[in-house]
Amino acid sequence: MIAAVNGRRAAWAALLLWTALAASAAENLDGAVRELAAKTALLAGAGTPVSIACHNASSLDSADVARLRATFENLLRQAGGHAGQGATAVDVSLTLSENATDYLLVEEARKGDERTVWIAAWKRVAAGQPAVAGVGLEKKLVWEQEEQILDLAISGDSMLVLAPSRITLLGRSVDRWEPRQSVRLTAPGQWPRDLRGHLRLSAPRFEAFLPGMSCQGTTEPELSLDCRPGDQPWMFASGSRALLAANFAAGRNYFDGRVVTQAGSMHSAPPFFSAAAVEDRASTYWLLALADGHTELFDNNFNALGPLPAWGSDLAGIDGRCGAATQVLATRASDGSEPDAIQSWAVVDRTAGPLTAAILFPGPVTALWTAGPDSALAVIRNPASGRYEAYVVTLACGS
Amino acid sequence: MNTDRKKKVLSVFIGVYRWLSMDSARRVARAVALLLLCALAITASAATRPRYGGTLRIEIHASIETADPPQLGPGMPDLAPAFSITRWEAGRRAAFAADENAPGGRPFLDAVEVELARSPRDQAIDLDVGKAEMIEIPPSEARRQPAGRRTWASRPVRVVLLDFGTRVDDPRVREALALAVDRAAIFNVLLQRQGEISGALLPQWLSGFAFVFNAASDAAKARELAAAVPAPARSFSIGVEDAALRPIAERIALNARDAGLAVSLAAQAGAADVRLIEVRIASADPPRALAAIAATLGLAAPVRTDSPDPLYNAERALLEGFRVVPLFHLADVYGVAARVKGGPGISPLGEWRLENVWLESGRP
Amino acid sequence: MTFRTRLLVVFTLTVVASVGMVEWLVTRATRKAFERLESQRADFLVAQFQREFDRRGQEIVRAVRDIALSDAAVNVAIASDTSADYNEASAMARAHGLGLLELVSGDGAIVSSAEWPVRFGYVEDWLTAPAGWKPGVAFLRREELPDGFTLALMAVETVNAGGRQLYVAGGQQLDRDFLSTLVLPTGMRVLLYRNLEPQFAPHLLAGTSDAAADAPEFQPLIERVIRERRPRVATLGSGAAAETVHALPLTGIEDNLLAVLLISSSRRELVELENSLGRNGAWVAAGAILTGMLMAAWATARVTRPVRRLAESAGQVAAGNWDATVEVTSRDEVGQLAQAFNRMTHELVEQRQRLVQTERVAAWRELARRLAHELKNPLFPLQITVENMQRARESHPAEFDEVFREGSRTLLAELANLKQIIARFSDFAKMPAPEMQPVNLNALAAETMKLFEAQFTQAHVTARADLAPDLPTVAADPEQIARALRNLVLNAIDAMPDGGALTVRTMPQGSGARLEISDSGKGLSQEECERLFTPYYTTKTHGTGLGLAIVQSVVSDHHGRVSVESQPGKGTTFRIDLG
Repeated sequence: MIAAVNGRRAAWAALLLWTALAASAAENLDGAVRELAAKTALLAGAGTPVSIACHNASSLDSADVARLRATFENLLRQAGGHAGQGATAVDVSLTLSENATDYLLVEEARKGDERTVWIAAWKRVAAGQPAVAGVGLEKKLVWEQEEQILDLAISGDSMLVLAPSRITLLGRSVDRWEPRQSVRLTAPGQWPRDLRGHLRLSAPRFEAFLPGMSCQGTTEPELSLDCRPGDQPWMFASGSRALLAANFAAGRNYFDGRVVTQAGSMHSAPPFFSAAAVEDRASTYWLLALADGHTELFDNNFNALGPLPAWGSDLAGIDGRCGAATQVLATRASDGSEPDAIQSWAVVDRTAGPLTAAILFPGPVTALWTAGPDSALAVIRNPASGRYEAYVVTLACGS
Repeated sequence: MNTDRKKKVLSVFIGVYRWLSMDSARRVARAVALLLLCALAITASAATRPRYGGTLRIEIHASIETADPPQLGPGMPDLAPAFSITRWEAGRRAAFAADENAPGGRPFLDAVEVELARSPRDQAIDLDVGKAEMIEIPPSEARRQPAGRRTWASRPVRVVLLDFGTRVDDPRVREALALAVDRAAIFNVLLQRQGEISGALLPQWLSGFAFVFNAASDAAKARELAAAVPAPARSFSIGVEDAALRPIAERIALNARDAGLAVSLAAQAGAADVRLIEVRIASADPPRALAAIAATLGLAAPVRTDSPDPLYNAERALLEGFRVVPLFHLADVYGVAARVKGGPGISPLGEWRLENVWLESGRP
Repeated sequence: MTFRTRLLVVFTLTVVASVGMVEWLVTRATRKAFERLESQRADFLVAQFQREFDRRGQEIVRAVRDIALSDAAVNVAIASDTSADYNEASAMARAHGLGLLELVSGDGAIVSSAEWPVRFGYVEDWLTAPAGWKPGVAFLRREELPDGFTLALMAVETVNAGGRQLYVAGGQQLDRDFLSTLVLPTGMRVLLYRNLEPQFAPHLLAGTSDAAADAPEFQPLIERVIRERRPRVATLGSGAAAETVHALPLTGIEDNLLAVLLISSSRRELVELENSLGRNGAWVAAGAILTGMLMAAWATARVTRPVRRLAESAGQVAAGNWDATVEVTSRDEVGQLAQAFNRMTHELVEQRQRLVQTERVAAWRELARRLAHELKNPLFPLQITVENMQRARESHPAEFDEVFREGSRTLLAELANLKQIIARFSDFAKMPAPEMQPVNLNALAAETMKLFEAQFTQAHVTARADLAPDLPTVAADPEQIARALRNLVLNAIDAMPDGGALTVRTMPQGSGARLEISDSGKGLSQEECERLFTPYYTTKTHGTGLGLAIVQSVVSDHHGRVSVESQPGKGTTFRIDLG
């Protein structure tokens, strides 16, 4: 096929071919085009018109296809061939394709009765880390990572992230959080599915609660952790005034119903996923997202008072700076496979009513904890990226 | 309605309107209205957090008559180690229980029950009446599913192909049959446009170059090839092992007749001259998948390569001579009840992944 | 055969013939009546079947119409994408009880086929062809199925909806299952030959039983109907298995002969009825004949008794007992005959007596004449000789010695002659009983011919012996037979005074033998033949006339038979049958 090619063009073609073949694989589309253009030039020979048809069978956009054609024609010309219309000696069909790991550029070249197929591939690259940026909205993305975020606590310029395998201490640098230290967690046996965990940070000390294990640690001078297996109840707050200690069911993803109020009284409730406290006419009420899917209202002695609207299984109580004194953030009723939403509710006369419109998230909520008196921490799993994203949700009055 | 009655109704409306004009009243009314609205949904239970408990009932059409449960293939073998088998009734049902010490934690489900040898029609009925939570949806039934039916689908991992035996030793006959098959008609009607037409062994999503392999029919050339072959060589039989493929085999026999080939359906698939079979893609690694297919079909092992271009050539070499003729790539599709959460319960390769599946009605 | 037996046979034959004739006439008339009834029944059944066939066709038309009017059909018609409907026909067919159903789009492409689901997309030209089927009318059609061609009763309706057209073509296969659903009277069966191949093929004959086994029997009728395209009726089989078969050609919408419908009505009932009739008739006839025979026997006995008596008496008379009489027991013709017989026998007796007397007188006269004649001849020479001797003594005493010597010689010769004559008469009177022994007549004949050789020569007689080589020996007295033979030969020589030919023949005669002596003399008249064996009867001028009587006596003693055959001028042949 190299016959009838003059010396200069042959040198170009050989150079292109060597360049193309020297690479074990193209690194990008341009490299793939270069590789195939060289082979096409060799096949066609100098001066032979080549017709080019381009197709896209990949997730790359049309701009890439346009670029493909232009690049191929250019390289072909450089190699001594030329793209032509009408009757041509060589018909080339270029298709952008892909599989799970690579993008492919597939060329089918027909010269007379002869049909040749070449394939050049380059790796598909994962999307880069998005920059952490505060968003002056009701939700604010504070952190995201590959591993599941069980809970996250921020204190000043320090952020603790609780994950199934480690606790990570991050420090703020300008407007980014950067990991500083990380301590591995050793699970007492198998973590249950739908792993949950909770952090309580009173800088520099913190507590971490996991199923069958509780840890105590400090963030200064360096991150240290002391974990012990046990059935210690989890402590979690609801808003700024309510506190509850609840035992987590071993090997499960819910609290088994044994609770102790901040007054020290022990009570027994049905198993529940999450709880939030509200104040209504000087009485404290607890809302429990029960493990059977209902949300029920309980008095302070955990006597059931009646069901509430069909919410999701994650509740967090916050102090309301507008509207009701305490408000409940609740996830939307769903099955955990679709993007979730969080809405603020107020309970008046033992009746819940929405305070705000729902905030949409790009994925299902995997954790919702009271993060401060007037904020909550929501962790979602983004199905598009496969990563976990932590948002601070606050009630923006007047918006 | 008489005039007095009308006046009474109007006065009520006016009263309510005035009452609604008041601030506090409005708020209470809104709450009441919402309460009324919510009362309708008050008995509904829904949660974003998985619930432990419950038995997932699966129905499949295969009738596995072995004395022991299957150890290979998609489906039940995938349940281990999260679930361990507790009962096996060959050809009828299998029961699995959640393993408390399963890697990654105990599954949410308490148990999985698999009902065997259920026809697609019975499966669909059972799903509708709540006797099953997960059923198979064959291609022919895909478009008959009610609107809103949830489905889990794998990638196209089943290769439907013609596998010629040694008796059909004239490559012209094999090529004639390959060209005679009207894949488009079969795909549009019998497969209800589920899956993809393909002339390749590896599906497009796996190799990225399946489209290069010719899958178009050419009836004229098929007739020309068949006419050049002696009459005895033009007669042979086609067999199917899976009854679900039988309509496709019958249609192929009809296409073959149009091309001048006398193809009859064999009573026993093992005795047929050419078999219409399904081969599964068992690996997401293209070279490994191609090698596994070659081994299954008794073809020479392809050269191991990680690059697409030589992989293409290796696949091309396997298809030389039309000893095997790929026709379609199909996906595993399962219909899933609304109360099944946490899916998809199958992997892209069609393996059952039920560890994270949970039932809305599950009780701890 | 006796008269009674003959009469009995005649009476019996008469009875048998008349009873048989009646039986045959009655049976024939009855059979014709039954055949007529059977034919009417068969025609009725055929008409009934045709109505049933039409009814089934109407059922199919209704079912197809119901499908065409259904919402499901309309949905298929208006669907822009019919690929999901390819199984619709199966469900519709099942719901409406049709075995065949195709939904075909307006351009002729099959949308859904119940009988061949995978044939979607193929074009059915016959639906869109300008001529052919009519809506609301069932018709026959040759349909292709996955395993070959079949014959179907079809109907077509059109669905027009939203500017689109859909053909609904449904029907039933005309096969064994279809035929088994038809309501048929007892004794009737229906077969259908589907004319789907150029040559007759047994497997194309469908019926409610194993029709293929009957195919060879029906083949000629079927081929004839196919050739002539006209209905035919034939009777197939025989006996109780016979059937009357109506063969009707069935054509399709293209006027092509697609099938031959065979409606068969069993003749078993008719045959059994006829057989029963025949049996009963045979029994009746047998009884009648038996009765007739008995009556005939009695009647003939009664009738023939007097005749038999007459015959017996006649036999006695023939045997010589002329005193036989018959009892006269009636005054009818038979009685009159008996009286006449009695008179006859009485007359015969008297006549015989008179005849015997006369014959005796005649025989005595003949004997006296013969004696006189025989004796006279020797006596005259005696007398002359004695007178001569007297004269010589008286006149010529010197010559008396000479005369006396000569005269003595003459007297002695004549006395010897007299003695011989007397001896011959004596021999005839006291011929001994034969001493039987196996005798070969050929040898006797040959000896006799040799004995007479010289006399043959002297008499100028040409003698010839024609002796049968396979002549059996007979029991006889050789001496007596030889004597009789000599007498006959002598007679023959005497009958040819001028010479002639004499032939002696022997031949087997039954279990015995025949001896013939033929001469070429002047022959005998009829009267002479009758009296020939009478003793002392002779046509010769010499002899005792005892020769043939001796022959007859010898033959009679041997229980044989002697006869003569002669015509004047043509010679005479004597036959002796012995054994």
